[in-house]
Amino acid sequence: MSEVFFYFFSVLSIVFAAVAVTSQNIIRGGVALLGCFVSLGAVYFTVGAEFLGIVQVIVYGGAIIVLYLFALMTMDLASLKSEPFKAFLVAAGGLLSVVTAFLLLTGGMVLTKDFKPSISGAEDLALPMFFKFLLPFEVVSVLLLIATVGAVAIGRRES
Amino acid sequence: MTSNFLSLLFVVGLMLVAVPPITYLERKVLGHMQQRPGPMVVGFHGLLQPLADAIKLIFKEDIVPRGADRLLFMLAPSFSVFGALLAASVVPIGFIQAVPLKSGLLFVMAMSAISIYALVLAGYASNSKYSFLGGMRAAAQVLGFELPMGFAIMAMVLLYGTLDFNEMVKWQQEHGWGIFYQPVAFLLFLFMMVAEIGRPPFDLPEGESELVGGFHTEYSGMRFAAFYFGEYINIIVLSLIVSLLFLGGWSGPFAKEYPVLGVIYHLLKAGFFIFLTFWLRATFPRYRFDQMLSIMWKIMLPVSIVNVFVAALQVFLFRL
Repeated sequence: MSEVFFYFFSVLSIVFAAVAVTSQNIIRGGVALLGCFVSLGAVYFTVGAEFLGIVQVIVYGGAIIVLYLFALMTMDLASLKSEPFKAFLVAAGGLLSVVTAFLLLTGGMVLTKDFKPSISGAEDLALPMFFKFLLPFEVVSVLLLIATVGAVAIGRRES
Repeated sequence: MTSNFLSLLFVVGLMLVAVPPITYLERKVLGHMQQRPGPMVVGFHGLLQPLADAIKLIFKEDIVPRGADRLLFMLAPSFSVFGALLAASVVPIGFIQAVPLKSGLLFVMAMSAISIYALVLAGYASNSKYSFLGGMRAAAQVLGFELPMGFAIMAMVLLYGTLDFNEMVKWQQEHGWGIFYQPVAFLLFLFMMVAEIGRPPFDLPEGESELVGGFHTEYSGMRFAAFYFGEYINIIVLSLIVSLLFLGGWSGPFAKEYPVLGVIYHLLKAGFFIFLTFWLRATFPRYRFDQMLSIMWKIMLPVSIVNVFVAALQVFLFRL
């Protein structure tokens, strides 16, 4: 039964993702992205990783999309449309997408056998994170701090 | 399985059936607090008023304003009801729990984060400046209250060492109610709960006096009613959760021997908090937008972070 839901939500998330990138109306695109994130969370649920699924919905579905929509609603969208077409940017984006698709496919090949995760609850996730992988975790947090400081610095310079 | 299905029916049914009487009670309580009788005309002391309102809302024309984003406009109210009902499905009422989820508390937070989109999208899609301002306020308010609320909940999770509602109540039956260990978290949660359901003094997204009706200005008929259902179900769910987190849920005298008594205790405790939201509405004026933001970010957030440290110390020192 849960496999039916697994495939249903997988297809749903792909459809929403496709709508998100192709939508002309940027707010509708944002809402489609929300749908994509929530159905991804549901996919985690169907394979038994309920904690990850919930965190996916809280962090991406809740906080990040609200921020996106908040920013998009206040922006002048008409001026964005008139921006000239740049072949270089499209080429770079295309190249990156091809690389990502390749990575995802090769990763998918390895994982085709079984999609039952060994980690499901908050405890199973927290123990390795704060004991076994404490150093990488702290390095990532420093990286995030640098990014925050950088964002504040750039924001202040422009005003 | 069947008992689970029955309890799902019970919980969803209870949520949907309880909303009209609660709107009636709210109007009566508000009325008497303001020294007027409240609804009196339809039925004995206005008892049939909710029914009359329902009939009116069902038969009202469903209007989509010109220039609105039709799809989002029609979709937005459903976020409100679905988010609230999904949150309700994991909350135990006494021994009745529809979906026993290990991370139930987090699931409720996720669903309340989803139901906020109802306000934001309704505000955007209506193509009206009042609605739009209401929607923007809703988005800013979410960003403001979610962090302090998360930290208040985190303090309780540290104390109980679990995200499961049943385990929390078990802990409180052994050690005493959570409010005695974490009074600050209780006050923070209460504050943020009022902000989350968008009730006075934090009903900025609606703001009748300056924004007409805020995000739901342009709605009519059942789509308008959907916002109300979402809001009131949210009130019920959050009241149940406050009593679970801080007042021992269904614990009380003889609750262990007779589980039905536990359901009644739990509903009574939740009922007090539902009454509290009416009380606040009758008492406090609305905060100004910048006041709300500075309360959230400058006072509540630091207090809640310090409180998490205090909770960690409590757990560390007393080996709770």
